[in-house]
This record gives sequence, structure tokens and C-alpha cells, in this order.
Amino acid sequence: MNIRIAALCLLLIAPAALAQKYGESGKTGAAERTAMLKTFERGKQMKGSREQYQHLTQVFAVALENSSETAEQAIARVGGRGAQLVETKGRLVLYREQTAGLAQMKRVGETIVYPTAVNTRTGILGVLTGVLVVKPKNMADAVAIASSHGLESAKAYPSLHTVFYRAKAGVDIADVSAALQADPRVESAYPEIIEHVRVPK
Amino acid sequence: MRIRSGVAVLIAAACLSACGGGGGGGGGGAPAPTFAVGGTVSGVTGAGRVLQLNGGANLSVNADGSFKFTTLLAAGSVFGVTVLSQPANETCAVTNGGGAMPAAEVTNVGVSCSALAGFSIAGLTDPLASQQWHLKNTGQNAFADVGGIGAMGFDVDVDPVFGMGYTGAGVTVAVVDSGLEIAHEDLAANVVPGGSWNFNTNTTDPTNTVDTTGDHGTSVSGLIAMARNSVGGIGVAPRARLKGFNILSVTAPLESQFLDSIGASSSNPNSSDVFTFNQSFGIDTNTPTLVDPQEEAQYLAGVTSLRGGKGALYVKAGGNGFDTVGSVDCTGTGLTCENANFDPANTLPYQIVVGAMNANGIKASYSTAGSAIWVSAPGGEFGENHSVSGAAGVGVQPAMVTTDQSGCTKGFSRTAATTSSFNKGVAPNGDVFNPSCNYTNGMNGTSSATPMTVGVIALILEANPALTWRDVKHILASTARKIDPTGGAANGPLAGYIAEPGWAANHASPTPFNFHNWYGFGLVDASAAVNMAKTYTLGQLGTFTNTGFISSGTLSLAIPDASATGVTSTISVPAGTVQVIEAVQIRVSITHPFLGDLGIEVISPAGAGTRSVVKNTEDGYFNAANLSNQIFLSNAFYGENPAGTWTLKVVDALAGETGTLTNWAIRVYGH
Repeated sequence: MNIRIAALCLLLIAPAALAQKYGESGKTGAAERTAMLKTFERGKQMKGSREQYQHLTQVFAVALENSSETAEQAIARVGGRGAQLVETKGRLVLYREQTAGLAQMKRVGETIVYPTAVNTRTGILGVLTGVLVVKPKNMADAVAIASSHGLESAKAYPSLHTVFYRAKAGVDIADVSAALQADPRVESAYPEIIEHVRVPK
Repeated sequence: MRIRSGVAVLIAAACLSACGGGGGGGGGGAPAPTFAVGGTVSGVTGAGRVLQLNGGANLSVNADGSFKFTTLLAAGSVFGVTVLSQPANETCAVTNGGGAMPAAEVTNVGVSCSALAGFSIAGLTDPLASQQWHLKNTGQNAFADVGGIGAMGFDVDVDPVFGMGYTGAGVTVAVVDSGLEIAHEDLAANVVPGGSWNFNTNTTDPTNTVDTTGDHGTSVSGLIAMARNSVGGIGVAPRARLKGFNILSVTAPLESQFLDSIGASSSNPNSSDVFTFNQSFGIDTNTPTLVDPQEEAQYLAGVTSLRGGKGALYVKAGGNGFDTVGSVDCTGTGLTCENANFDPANTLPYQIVVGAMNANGIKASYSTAGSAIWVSAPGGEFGENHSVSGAAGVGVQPAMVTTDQSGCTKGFSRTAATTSSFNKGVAPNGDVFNPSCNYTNGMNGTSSATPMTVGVIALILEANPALTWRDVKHILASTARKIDPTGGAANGPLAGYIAEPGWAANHASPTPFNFHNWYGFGLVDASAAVNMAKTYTLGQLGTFTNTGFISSGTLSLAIPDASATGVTSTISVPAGTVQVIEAVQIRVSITHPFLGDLGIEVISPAGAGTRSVVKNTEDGYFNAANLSNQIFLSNAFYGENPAGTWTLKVVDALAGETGTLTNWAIRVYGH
């Protein structure tokens, strides 16, 4: 199992080394990746903006402190003992721990540790930011909705008819997202998940 | 709603409470419009200029002095003052021209006008301007080993525009990027004081202190608006006003921060007064990805509400993945690996997606192709010196000369650089052009082509501030130059199947548009565009609308394996809703275990039918599986009448795995 996970890590974090070239036998890579993803322990389902996700209970993310910090150093900074690097997304480092956790934000010192999820259609890993994107049926209910679900510090975009809430530490994002979706005052709700990071082009 | 749309309002819980009211959805507590907007005009050269408030209230101003619009606005709403028209020999710049309306009269809008004074690139005192081939290509080497070959004139043709005196004055540009060194010696004069935003520090200084090996945003900014002075080079629009939003430097970027960077915020940051957004970024993906609904909504709001309702211009990099994308290497196929359609933000009709050309007047080696490309602009190659880096080929061909993080201890140019003598701050012939390492000769990418286009748009908007976002797109498409007339066509792996058609004229009437997946409508031509803008008839594009998605319904059409015949399906677009195409979206669902096998093309009903390949075979999707409501955009049909039968054709070019077309739909945008 460890060998297979290591293979996935290589596949995800060192793509150039394993470049799949047309005319070569790279198609096996897809099957390998799918197999490796199956080794990640999965938690609750989450409905995203346009995709379905499932919480990865043992995979977490931490942001690099600066451009000179390595992924391994960032993992060590949050005490990820025995953790394995999975992949990076921009300055976000995704790693796997032995111990499972809930889909909630946590702090280690000054550092935020993010939960992660997998896009069940594409297999892409995503980082849960702790933000919930909500379209209330009536924007006037925005405060009451926040209060009902233990959410804080919102930013509202009236022209988009959307409010961004932040889940408090310890709140399970999958649970609160489901609760929001079931709230009769809410038209739609989903957790913000970073699947792709914008990079200079 | 219409005026306030596009504006984000920061509300902490307390504010939410205050705003909550309890009214039944009608916004019954909205404040009354009671406050006026005004300011001072100076430097007028005669009669004939019109100021506009929020795209609706016009005010003629014929002399220096104070002005005030008669239209009143409510506190908390958004105001935006623009110059609707001005005399042909005059340019006017607006300061304090927009933002959230206070609970008082606005009296500090400044309109500073001056007579246009032309100049030429040859006469500039900016010491690096002569090496900026992208402005005036004379075959110079831009401090690389070799110069452009046979490429005299393959540039953005801005010299005649400078000769007319246009410089982008009064046009506010946002560089949505990694940062902006606001104190840079060649940028500071054009930076909007307090207008930028650093999302890491929540301050108005986005100078990049995180990256020490180059700040992408600062280099992008220089290509747009390096000032005309006696240092460095010059931007395409050397008097455009710069704002920087450093979303690419945020460690865990939030969607709300991105929305705030593209026009949804009127304070901290204020992006609501931006004319054109430079988006030299994208996502790297080998997997079909869907557009974020909030982003799509904000882009729509931006073209609907910003710039006084005339719409902001969103200019976006097409990508640098022609040969490789992610883990897939397509070198040798002759086909683009990354398709411009892979980034879902590129599939929105509100964008101007840009490809890159090099100093030889052909596609830059890396430039991503695809039917979502609108135009191309100089992006350069790599600008290195073999003696420094060991590079050869495109590695030592000209890149772009632009601004860099100041000083020789950081930046693309620094003492420790291993790319070029210029970037090391020395020069082998004793002529030291970059002693303080404040500039680089190694900027490239569609990241560079994008600001070139943004700069040209600034010139267009200065020449005719009344143009809408669609007018500007139309002008760019109509005036772009066809370059590399025989390049790009590729057969791919299937006999009898042209995987990449190269240049093709569509069936727009009365004048067809030439389109190429490598170049869009061609190389941006600032001179032709500004001249067209000056005499442009407003309103000629009518009302923007779309057909909505017209679906094939559920299908189960097997895609023949390794067959040029492929499978086809048709959809009829009725006459009426859209009579002239501005963009076409195709939504496709296919089951197939290896999407790299597939080529997808669309054939329009106009004339003999225009063929547009929206996804080529052997691309970077490679071993991704299945398309589920994936959107592709094509600009190839611009100007055609959409009424009639459209055909989708899917081919499977590589033997082995097979798949099925299960659904497709078409949405036509236009007027």
C-alpha cells in the first residue's frame, strides 16, 4: 500500500518526471491514479457548486509561509508526524496523515490547517477554505442564516445575490453545508473548494 | 439594482443586521437619491466634450471650471464619471471618478484635459525603448542573442498612435496578478494613489515581498504603462493609470478576493472604476473543469455595469501549454496540448482571450491554441544569452523588455541571474543598460501578450470613451492582422482528417472574418484599431442577447474508433433571437476513457459551413475520462447568421478505447 501511495505522490508532485507522451504507454497512469485515490479514506459527501465531493478524512492542507519554505517544512511546521506529501496546489501543500479528522478548520499555532475533499467525478483533490457560499432567497435573511448555523464574518454581494460565510473553528463544513442546503430560507449553498489555483500564464 | 450591480458591499454581521430590515424582498428601505456628483474641469482646448455619470446622465462641458450633474444619487450607491466624448485633438483624464457614494455631495471629481501631443518611438529618451520590438519591430535582439528574422513591422503598430498623441490617458487598468511595485521608477507616475490592494496585508501597497526571484505583476504592468521619461522603456499606453490586485500571491486565495479583484468591490479594493482588467493567469488542468458560477456571474456583471454601463474589458491569457500541460507532453504532434478551452473562464464570451506571437512574426513556441482565442499579441520567446545560460533556439530569441522588481538582489534580473547579461545587470560589450536591475529582458508568455492587448484597449478607449465592451471586441477583431498565412494546419494521426485547419475565412456577411485557433482574428493592430474607434458608429451591434442552450436531447451515438468519419449530430437554431453571432458555446457530454483520443468540431449553417475545431485530438486531456456538460467556446463564427442546422462531429483518432456521444447543446451569443 505504501508503495502505491508513494507512486501516487510521485505522479502528483513530480509530473515532469513522469510525463506521459503520446505514443508511449502513459494511459496506464490513469488507472494507477484511480487506484491510488481509492486508498484515501473518504468521509461525508458534499454538494459543491457544480460538482459532488467527498471529504478525505486523512488528507489535510497547509499553506507555505514563503517562497523559500519547502512542502516538507510546511508539513513539519504543523506537526504532521509521519505525514506523506500528496501534492501541491500553488502555495497549498496537501499531505496525508495516519489519523483521520473531521471536515473542519483547525489551527496549529498561527497556522491554519485545511480539510480536503475529492471531486467524485474527476478525482481532483480540493482544499476546503472554510467558506460557505450561500444564495439566500431573501438577502434580508443573511444575518439570521448566519446566526442559525453558527457562521461568522460574512461578505455579501447583493448584485450576485450571494453571501460568503466563514465557518467557525470546530464546525464540520460538510454538516453545515448540508444544513444550509436544507434551510428553507436558502436557495443554494455549497462549500468553497479550491481545486485549481490560478498561476501566471 | 442596475447601478448597484457589480458592487460588493463589505458587511460584517453588524452591518448585515443593519441592512436586514425585514422587508419583504423589495428593498423598501433603500435611501433616496439626494446627493449630486461634481468636480472641476481643467485644460480644455475648446468646446465639444461630454461627461457622463453612470452611463446615463450626460453633461456638456465647454470651459474650465466646476461642473455638477443634475442627476442625484443615494448614499451607498455607486457613481462613475467617464468622458463620453471629447474633441479629436484633446485627451481628458478623470480622477476620483468613481466609488461608493458618500452621504454628501461629491465635489472632487477631476477632469484634466490637454491637447494631444504626438511623439515617435524613435524620438523617445527612454533608453530601453529601442529594444522593445513588440512596439516597433526592426529586427532588434532585445538583448538576446538573435533578433527577429524577416519580421520588420510584426509588432502592435503603436508608433502611429503615439504620433496622434494617444497614450491611454484617463484609462484605469487593473493588473490582477502577483503584485505591483508601486514605487518602481518607471511605474510610479502612473500608479493610482491608494488604488491598489494587497490581500495578504489588507493595505493599498501590493508590492511583492514574498517572491524574490521576480514579480510577475510588476513585469506585466510595465508592458502596459511604463511611463514616457528618461528611464527604462515605455508601455503601450504610457499614461494609463495602474492598479494592482495581488490575488496570485495569496496563499489560500478565496473566491471573494477574486471577485473583489474583477470589479465586484467598490472599496478595499475599489475595482469598480476599472476600465480594463489584465488577467495574465490561468489554471493548469488535464481534467475537464466547469466554470465557477460566481465568477461567471461577476464577469457578466462587469460587462453590464462597470464603466458607466458600457462594460469593462476583461483580457485574459490563453496559456503557455502548446507543447505540454501538466503531466502530458504533446511535443511532436503539431497540435496544441493545452487547449484555450481547458480553462473554463476562457469559455465565457465576456473575455478577450489572447495568444502570443514572437519577434519572427509567428506563434510563440509555447502559445496555447484554441477556438476561444480572440486575438494575438507579442509575447516573445525567452531572451537568453547562450554564454550565460547555455540556451539555444527559441531560448535565445527575443523576449519582452519590461519592468522588474527593483534592485540587483531580487527579481528576474539580479546579480545571481543565470539567463542573460541584461538580467545580470551587465553587458558583454560594455554598454550597461540595466545597472540597477530594475528591468528584465526575459518576460514572455501569453502573460505578456495580454498586457499588450490591454494597452491597446487603453488607447482605443482614450480615443473613443463611449465604446462598449462589445464595440472594443469588434474593433479588435475587425482590425487584427492576419499573420503567418500558412502556419498551423496539421493533419493529426488520422488519414483524411484535418485536426487543426489553420486560417479559414468564415461566412460573415458582408465581410468574412479570418480565424485561426493559433491567432484568433490575428495580431492586434493599435493604429488600425484606434483609427476605427475614432470614426466608429455607436450602437451598430444592437442589443446583446443569446439563444439559451438548445439541446440535442439524450443521445447514444457510438464514436467509431480510429475513424475520420466520426459521429455527427445536428441541432437546428431558429431564426430570430440572434441574427449576428458574437460567440458560440458548445456543451458536450461524452463517455470515453481517454479523452485525448477525441477531436470535436462544430460546423455552422452559414454559407458552405464554417468548421471550427473546439477540441483537437492528442491533447492534454489525454487520459482523463468523460465529458460531462463541458463547455467549449468558439469565436470562429463571428459575424455569421446562426439560423439553420448546426453539426457537431466527434472523431476518435487513436485505436483502442471507444466512447459514446450522449448529449450536446449550443448557445449562441450575439445581436
